[in-house]
Amino acid sequence: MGSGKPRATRRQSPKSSTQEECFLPLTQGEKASATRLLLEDPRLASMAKVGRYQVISAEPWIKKSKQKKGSRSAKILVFNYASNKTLHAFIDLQEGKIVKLVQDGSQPMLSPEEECRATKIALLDQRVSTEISGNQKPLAVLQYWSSKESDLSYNQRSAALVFGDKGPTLVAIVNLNSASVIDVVPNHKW
Amino acid sequence: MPHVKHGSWDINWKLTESSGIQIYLVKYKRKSVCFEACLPYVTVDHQEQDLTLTEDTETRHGPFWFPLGSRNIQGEVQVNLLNNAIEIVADFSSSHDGRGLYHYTQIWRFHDDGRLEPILLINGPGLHSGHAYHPHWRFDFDLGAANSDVVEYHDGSKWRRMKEEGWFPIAGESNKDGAVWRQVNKASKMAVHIRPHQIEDGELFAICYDESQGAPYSPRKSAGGPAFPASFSGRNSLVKKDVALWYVSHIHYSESFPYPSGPWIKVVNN
Repeated sequence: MGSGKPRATRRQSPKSSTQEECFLPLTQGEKASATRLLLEDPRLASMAKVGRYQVISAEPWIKKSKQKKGSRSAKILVFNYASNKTLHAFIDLQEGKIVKLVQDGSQPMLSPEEECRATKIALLDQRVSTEISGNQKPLAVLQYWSSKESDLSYNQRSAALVFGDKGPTLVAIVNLNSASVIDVVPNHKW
Repeated sequence: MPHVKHGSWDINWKLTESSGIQIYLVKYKRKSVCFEACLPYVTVDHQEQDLTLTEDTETRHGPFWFPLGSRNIQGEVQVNLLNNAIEIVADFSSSHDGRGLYHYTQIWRFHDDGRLEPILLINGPGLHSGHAYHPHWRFDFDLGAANSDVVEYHDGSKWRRMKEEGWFPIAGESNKDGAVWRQVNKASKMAVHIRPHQIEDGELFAICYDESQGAPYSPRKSAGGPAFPASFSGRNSLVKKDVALWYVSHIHYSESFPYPSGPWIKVVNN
């Protein structure tokens, strides 16, 4: 039986990683930890509460160090549909803290979830469904922005879906902010 | 993690989620050459090449792209041994099931004589005469202490220093070996010489290194704003700074496809 005071444990500082280790792809566990840290941050409480965001991607974030050592870190991109902005979050996984948050109007790639959503929206549109056979899958789902200021795709998150049986025949432009097809273009004009 | 040693090259590489195959912590003759390099994106836009006076020839559709990465790789990354070289190759498709409109083959080829060739081949049924393709490579060369790095362009008679961030297109001048740009480390005497392939329309952006510029990348910063890397570029001094180089090429469909795009890079140890 032990007696007396419990022995104080010294808090260990997180082990540093080699430069090579910092480049390794994030594990599913690291991605989950990084996302949780981000969404629990009080600065993002309103975004998390409204829930109109999409985590786009999480990849290793490499910081240079003269000591050739560092800590495993992640860069996460989140698109916030409520503000039509992209959040860039830089997270030190070994320290368990957010190092930097930046918000801007950049348009990152489509996440797999957004690709699926864009496909469902396109297939429900009569202009698309009457031109293609059955529940055809798109040949490509592309992240797209228009260079014309008058187009919705100029500043809203959009996808271009290319359909066709034996080759590309039509392109549907889907606005993901409003969940609607905003244009259907014959492929030769695309 | 994948690691290749061949001849004088020592290469770490990995398949990323969005910027193709990334090479990192690369050494040549036991000396550091590259901290990391990747292919952040290939944008495609519609550029009419025929002038028809009855039609609105303004660009019909703005740029589009899809990431090159683990979710659309076709098969495995291959490491091939060639005569006097080794290459790392991967095929990507715009559709996960491989029947996509656009097929890209990304290659990193390392020659025994110190040449490094990043190559992109573009294929697929989606290509047509109205399209132009713009692969963007990013290089973070590591030739020694960053504050000893100098980036230069050749004016036809001598190398001139790039003092500020910016865009450095080709004006036709090069040194006797054809090199248009170079990054030199004055302390280690290591250098990389860069030029486009013979008929390529390529350009270089030299930008101060910023650790937040890593993958995943977005091709533009804001609606209506310039595409990256132009929007990264300000008027910051490049003197005694760590520098990232972006090489961007512009491939029109009139090129004989599949056209091998990409810069020619040579490691020089003075």
